[in-house]
Amino acid sequence: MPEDWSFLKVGSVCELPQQTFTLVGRCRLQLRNEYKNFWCAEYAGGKCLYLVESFGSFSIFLSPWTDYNKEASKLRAGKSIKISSDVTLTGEYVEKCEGLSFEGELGPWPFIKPGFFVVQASAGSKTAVFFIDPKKNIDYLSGEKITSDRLNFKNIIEWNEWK
Amino acid sequence: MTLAMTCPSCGIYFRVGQWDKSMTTFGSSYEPVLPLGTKGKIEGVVYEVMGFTIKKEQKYKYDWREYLLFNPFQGYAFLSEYDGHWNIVWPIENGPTKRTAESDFYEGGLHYQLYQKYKAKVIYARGEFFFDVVDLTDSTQNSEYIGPPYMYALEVSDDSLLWCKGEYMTPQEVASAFNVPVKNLPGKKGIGYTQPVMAGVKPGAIVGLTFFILLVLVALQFFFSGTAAEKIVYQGNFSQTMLKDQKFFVTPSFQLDGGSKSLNIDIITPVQNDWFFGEFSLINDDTGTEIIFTKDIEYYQGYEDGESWTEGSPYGEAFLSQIPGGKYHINIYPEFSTSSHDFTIVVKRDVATMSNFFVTLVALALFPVGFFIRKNILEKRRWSESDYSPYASYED
Repeated sequence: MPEDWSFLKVGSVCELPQQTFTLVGRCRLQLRNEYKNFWCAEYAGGKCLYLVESFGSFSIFLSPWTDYNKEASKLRAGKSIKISSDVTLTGEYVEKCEGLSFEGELGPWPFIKPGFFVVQASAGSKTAVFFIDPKKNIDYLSGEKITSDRLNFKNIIEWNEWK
Repeated sequence: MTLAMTCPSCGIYFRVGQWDKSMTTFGSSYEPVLPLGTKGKIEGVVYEVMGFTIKKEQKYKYDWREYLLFNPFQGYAFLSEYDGHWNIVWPIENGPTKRTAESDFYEGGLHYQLYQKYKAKVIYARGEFFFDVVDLTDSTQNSEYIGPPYMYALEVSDDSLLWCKGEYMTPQEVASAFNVPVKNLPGKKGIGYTQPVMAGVKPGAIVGLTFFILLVLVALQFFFSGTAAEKIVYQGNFSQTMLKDQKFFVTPSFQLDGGSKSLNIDIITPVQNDWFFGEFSLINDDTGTEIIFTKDIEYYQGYEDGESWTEGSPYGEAFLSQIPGGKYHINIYPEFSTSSHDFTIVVKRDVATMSNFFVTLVALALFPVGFFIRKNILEKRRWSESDYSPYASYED
């Protein structure tokens, strides 16, 4: 995996009041105009979740990968995207994944080749990331946006030149 | 992470994504006032200047400069400069929560109004970019809402929707943050679109303070009115027939008690479609100090075109403030008309007056009125470059 400016690394820990997560691996998506680090975090003796990081913003996804049964054409920036009877999100971006790199251990991960599209949609703190491969089903993760100070990271790359 | 960068030697803009390796060249070269690689601290966060662009608006063809700033813990931000006015702008996770109208909305207690919508092109880029700034700028429609010193910017393209929040920075703040001499930064022209005007004084505070002082004034007026003695110290009737050889009346002496207090002289005449004039001289019996005042009383009435009318009054009043205690008399030099031959005067000590109240009220109103007039002028100037000016209908 090529170097990036993330301050997280495999072995970083985030300490929430109820639970501690340890980052055990990551999948990095290089998108057309952005990057996304999907950090796989292990907790409670073997469970895993994904923590998605991009330019200092974070989302935490506890849900399993879920099939999205509606049309891909509905997954557009600025459009309403209903994922359940009580959750409707607004599309924020559609980006093609140009590169994919893996490191460490990962939980379930449905895409191993770049070329698929990524859509993120949010409403308030609720968010979802959709992966669209025209030849496959649409899978998504749903979770919450969260600020880095709430995640209380430990064992990070210090980047002292920015302090 | 880097998706585009320029060559330090030839200045060519290279895209380094997986599938797009195209290049862009720019006609001219420009020197950023904040050199690439410079670090600066804004709101406690150390940013490095990674990229510099000059963007040109596509309708009115004005251009501005944008610096791409980066911090590994906070992500990226933009520092934009136009006519010497600076804004620091951050991408935000969620847009304004209460935005229900296209033209304006309230957020965090501030009123944000649409200032501009535009499309832009990058006419120059230098440095390193985490996105293809040239293509992204080309494909994006921008809307900016201002609530000085803050702003919200919405960038929309077919593929993305991004909200940013910005805040005005003075050149001194920018120079201090990046440790560059302020004289190196472009000079300010006009009013920046997010520049706070008369920021030290909040309109709400002015209104609140004015009302508070008004209440105090009213309370003081009630107090002085309630405690004023309004004691009649002299009352006398005078008739022209009483004048023989002398040309003036002399009242008996009367005593004014206490220290310096007000004195009110009522003059009552029975004039009807006539006039009365008197010169009055209040004289201290002990010191001979003299205070002279005149009163011109006119009263006319009639019936014209089916309506009755009146003009003037048969009563006159003279108010003398701060008259020291002592023994006084009044010399009255009257001028009678052909039909008016009598008058009465009533002298009252310690009378409350409304004039001080109204003078103070006018003086009190000067500051807020001046403030709002000045603010209005500056706001009109701020909005003069906007297609969405709330003042447009008044100016047209």
